[in-house]
Amino acid sequence: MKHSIKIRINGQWYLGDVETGMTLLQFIRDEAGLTGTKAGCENGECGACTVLMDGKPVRSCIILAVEADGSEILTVEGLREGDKLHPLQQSFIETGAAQCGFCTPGMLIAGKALLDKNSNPSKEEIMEALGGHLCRCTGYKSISKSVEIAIDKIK
Amino acid sequence: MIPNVEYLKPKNLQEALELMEREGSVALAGGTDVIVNMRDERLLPKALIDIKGLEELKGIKEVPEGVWIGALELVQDAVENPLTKQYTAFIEGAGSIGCLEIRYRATIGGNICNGSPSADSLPGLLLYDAKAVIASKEGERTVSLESFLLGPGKVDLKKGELLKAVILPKAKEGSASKYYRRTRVKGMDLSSVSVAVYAENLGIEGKSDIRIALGAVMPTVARARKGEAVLYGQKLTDELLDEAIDALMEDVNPRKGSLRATPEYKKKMVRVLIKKAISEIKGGVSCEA
Amino acid sequence: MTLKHVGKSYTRNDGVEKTTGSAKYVADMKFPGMLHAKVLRSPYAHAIIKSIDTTEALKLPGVFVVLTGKDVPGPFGVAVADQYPLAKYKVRYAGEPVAAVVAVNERVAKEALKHIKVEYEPLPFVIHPKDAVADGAPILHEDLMNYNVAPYVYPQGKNIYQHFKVRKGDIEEGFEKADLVVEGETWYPYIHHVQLEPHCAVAQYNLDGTMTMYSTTQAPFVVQNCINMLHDIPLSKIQVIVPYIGGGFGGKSDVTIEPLVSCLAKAVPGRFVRLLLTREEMFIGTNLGRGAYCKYKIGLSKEGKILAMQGESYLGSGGNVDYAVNIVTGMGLAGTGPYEVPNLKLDVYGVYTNTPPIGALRGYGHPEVHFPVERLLEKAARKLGMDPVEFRLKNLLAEGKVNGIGQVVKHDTGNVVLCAEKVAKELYKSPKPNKGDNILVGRGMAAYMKTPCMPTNVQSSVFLKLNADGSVTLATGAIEMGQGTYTVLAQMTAEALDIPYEKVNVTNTVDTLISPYEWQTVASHTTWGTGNAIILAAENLKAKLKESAAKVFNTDAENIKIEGDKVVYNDKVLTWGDLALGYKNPDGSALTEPIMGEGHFVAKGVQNPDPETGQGNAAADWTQGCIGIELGIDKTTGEVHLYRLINYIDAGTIVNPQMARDQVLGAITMVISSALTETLVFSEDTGKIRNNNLVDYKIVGIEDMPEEILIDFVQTPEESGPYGAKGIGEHGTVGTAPAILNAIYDATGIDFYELPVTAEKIMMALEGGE
Repeated sequence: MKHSIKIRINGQWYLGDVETGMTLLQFIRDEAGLTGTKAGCENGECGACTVLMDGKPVRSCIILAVEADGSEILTVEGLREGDKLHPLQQSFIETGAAQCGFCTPGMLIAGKALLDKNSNPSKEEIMEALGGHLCRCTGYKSISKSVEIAIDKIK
Repeated sequence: MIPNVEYLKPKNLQEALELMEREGSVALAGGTDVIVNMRDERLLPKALIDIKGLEELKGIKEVPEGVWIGALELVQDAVENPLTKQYTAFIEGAGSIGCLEIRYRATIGGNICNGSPSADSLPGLLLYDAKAVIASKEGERTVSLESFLLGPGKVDLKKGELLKAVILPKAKEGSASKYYRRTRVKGMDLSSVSVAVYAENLGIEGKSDIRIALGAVMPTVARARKGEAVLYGQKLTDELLDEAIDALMEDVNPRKGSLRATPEYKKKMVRVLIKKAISEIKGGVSCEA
Repeated sequence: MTLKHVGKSYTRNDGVEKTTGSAKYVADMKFPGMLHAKVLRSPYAHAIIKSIDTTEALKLPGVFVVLTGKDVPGPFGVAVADQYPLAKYKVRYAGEPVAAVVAVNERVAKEALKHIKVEYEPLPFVIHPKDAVADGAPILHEDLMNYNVAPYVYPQGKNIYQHFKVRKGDIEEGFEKADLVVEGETWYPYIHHVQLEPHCAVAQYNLDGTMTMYSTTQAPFVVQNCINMLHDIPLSKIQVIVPYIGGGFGGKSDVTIEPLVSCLAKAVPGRFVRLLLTREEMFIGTNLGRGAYCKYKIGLSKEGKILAMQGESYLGSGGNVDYAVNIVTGMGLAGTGPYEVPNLKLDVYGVYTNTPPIGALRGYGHPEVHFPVERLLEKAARKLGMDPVEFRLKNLLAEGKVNGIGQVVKHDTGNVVLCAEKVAKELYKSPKPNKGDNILVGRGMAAYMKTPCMPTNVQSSVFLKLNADGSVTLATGAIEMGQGTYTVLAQMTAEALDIPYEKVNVTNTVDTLISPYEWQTVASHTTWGTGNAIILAAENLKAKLKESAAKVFNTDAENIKIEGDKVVYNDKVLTWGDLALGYKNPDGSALTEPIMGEGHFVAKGVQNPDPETGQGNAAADWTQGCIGIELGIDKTTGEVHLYRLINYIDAGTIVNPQMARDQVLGAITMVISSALTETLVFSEDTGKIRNNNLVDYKIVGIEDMPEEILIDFVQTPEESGPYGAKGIGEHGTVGTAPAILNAIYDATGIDFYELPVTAEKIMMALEGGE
């Protein structure tokens, strides 16, 4: 059984006839062609597929596309404003927090969700926001530092 | 890969309950367990009934008996709601589920109905004698949440029923609670063992009421009543607490072969975490202990 | 020499791509008409395949082909030819590919797997290498002694495919003179790399005999070679393309899924076939790491000098060995740790086990043996009543000393003594902090050294293409998998050509048809090897500029000077751009040729070690360092809290300090994880890996990290390295586990010799001790 759905991703509506088993992640990558969002485990454990859904960070690999019908999604591709990089993107570049780049989109979106909710989060709140995101490259310090730098940039 | 099954999104509770009467219907709320289980083919529903739109199952409100939490309430929303603030062990437990992204999607009802022996929202709810409100076409029934939990992955929902809400009785003035758990890493992990402790008139003879709920050491999250009975109304001493823990250990029987911790370690942690919680409460509770 | 670009913390040149979602990885690519593959894997760790029936699977609409062992070529293997793309006759680990389906989509392919009937006859299996060499152990490869092996491989029969020996001095005399002998056994368990990006390969075979493959590999030229051997396709017709890859750590080196995918593509000519592994398959269907059991004995004088060391190590290597031979070598070359040992006897055995193959994993060969050495030396210092720092300083491989394989430590080998002194000074600068009644605080350190274990004649080539605007494109066969290679290589290019960093662009895709040859991006050798090639290419490019300009100015090349981006002859000036595509005479006729610099580097003078003694110039260079850890243990739960991490490393000249620091930290973090939580759990009944997912196999997250981190450098320029640089990517893994365990001993008085040391193990040991 197919379902006709529409999902607004980074401000653009995408229509699709999808089977139940298609995840939101698959819709974003395969239907909308936005491959910045990554599939690391497809089991909700690694955080690479994190996107904002109606303003909240969620794991797109364990949400069905049909469940997201009518929702507003933000992916890493939608983070910049025009040609200007988001302060988080700038700070990730400055600190070298994007190494292999595979966890980066999820980390950026988690950081964005945090800063949208709280422009001046504590160290603990940064830890909480990033606590469910696995990175095997960096040792995490450059990532938390990037969030701190972005906070200053936004101020 | 998620199997392709029928997907239906009822508009109201009545419609949902009718769909739930069909053979093989599984309710889909946040999906953080259902989708994962379907991917592993541990769960193969005929139809997914997406209940997220049901307003009847949403909200947190004061009711005469206490606080009513809709089954579809998002875990993070429940944690941040001012009405749940009084139930410390509940918000600490629910606040440790998965990670932030999971808590923005998972629901309180889902965490309960998944029936996991290590569900983090449950010990805190059981401490306060929470009730489960169950809806079906025939009407509603209310049972104690503890009796709602039947075994690993099993809850007292019959065909055609949905968990509608949980009701937390008002926390008594001067009571306090605490939740501790052990995990393998400090970040996202399932509980290896968890302990919730509630205390009212802690250690005051004739009045003391200490309740203990345990996770990941029994087939379901459950209250440790044998231990509670030892402590009830008694002056709290180290010896008595050990005696109570010895008593509750009779029911603590963690399964072997867990990838998270051995039964021996779990048992040790039950003792340690109960003591830690009581000592923490002692520091904060208004009592003469 | 003042350096303009080397030594600066430039931001990564792939930063924008990787933070905007535009960096492309293999799984992001779609190809017209692409088909999808799924693999049926053995549920048994060891079994004879009695029959396979694919009839029903082939009937499913959408299924193109189903392959089994009888359809594929082989055996193949870099070191030992012991494997097939799909199992033949028997399976040797749970997860080994038995059949594969190519179908119109993944869903159909997955469904088809359920319709393949395989009859197995299960055999006894063996997981631990110690059990694999015991009498009566099940034999994995009955015909091992008849296998084709590389010249440096010495199969011993039974399950032993390699024996690496190191002999120095007189071991018996050494122990006779010893006042103290310490002994112990260590076990570094099987673990996984957990790269965030799953393995993926897409291949197309054409009837004109060409093969194109996109793959998440660190080793495109090894894959190319493997496809050549398997299918007898000329190397010139095998195009292996690698874009960015999402973490390698050795687990994407040599070959993993590529041989199978090449067979699948060959079965459906003209169509692209993709195999993308699930997270679960990564744990059972790619390479694992470590799996090392070591038995060491060290003899010392009462003054604290190491007199003798004897080690017997067994590397559990999986059902087929492939890269594990190099791990065995590493365990031999580095078997003493960074200490002088006058009398030495090391035996390292590579052993077949019924586990997925063990391959390179960040630091391979080195953490395995530093573990027993550093734990036992700590114990020895304690027994001698000596300060562990002072004791180490007495024995470290200072300049002029001779290492285990007979190399004299030169100045540029690096200053491990200074690293250790700096770590000790920082670690012990103040008394242990008081963290409350329940917390036991401990400190520990470990020194380390590592050499890149690689072929003796390892090659790196680069091209430097001069563009008409004066910018330069660096073409390399090295892979960017997170380590920042392209930034470091661009810095060295800018340095070598004396042009602005911004003028250098690096090709971000490797293509074996057009990219210059590179052995593989493994062993922390790229900065060193490819960097050397860049310097040669820059010389070549500048010489060509001078030759061209000489023609234009009608003089000799030696009269031409290069000043910045100008080419100057007396008062006449040309820009590089004027010459890039060749100089044109006023009448339009061409005078000079387009300019591209070529650089080809091969390590010289590195030898195979002597098969009987392991002695020889077998290590191209060494990077050394020291790590210190301060931690606290909650004595009520056994939980470990990391407070301070201090690391000094001498990796020669540091090309990019910020990135180098994060390379070291990343490596250390992987081992914090393996020291404290990681281990693959094998079912006792079936030999299957039970925790083949991220719910059950935990790696550390942001909250597990040490509170304070100090990573710094001692920079003794390496003579053989470009601008004095050498490898740094893996070295943080080498000493971390013993440093943590030494600190745990310091806190609790408990000696652990097996990893991981979980909170549970600490708690149980604490209780046992009371």
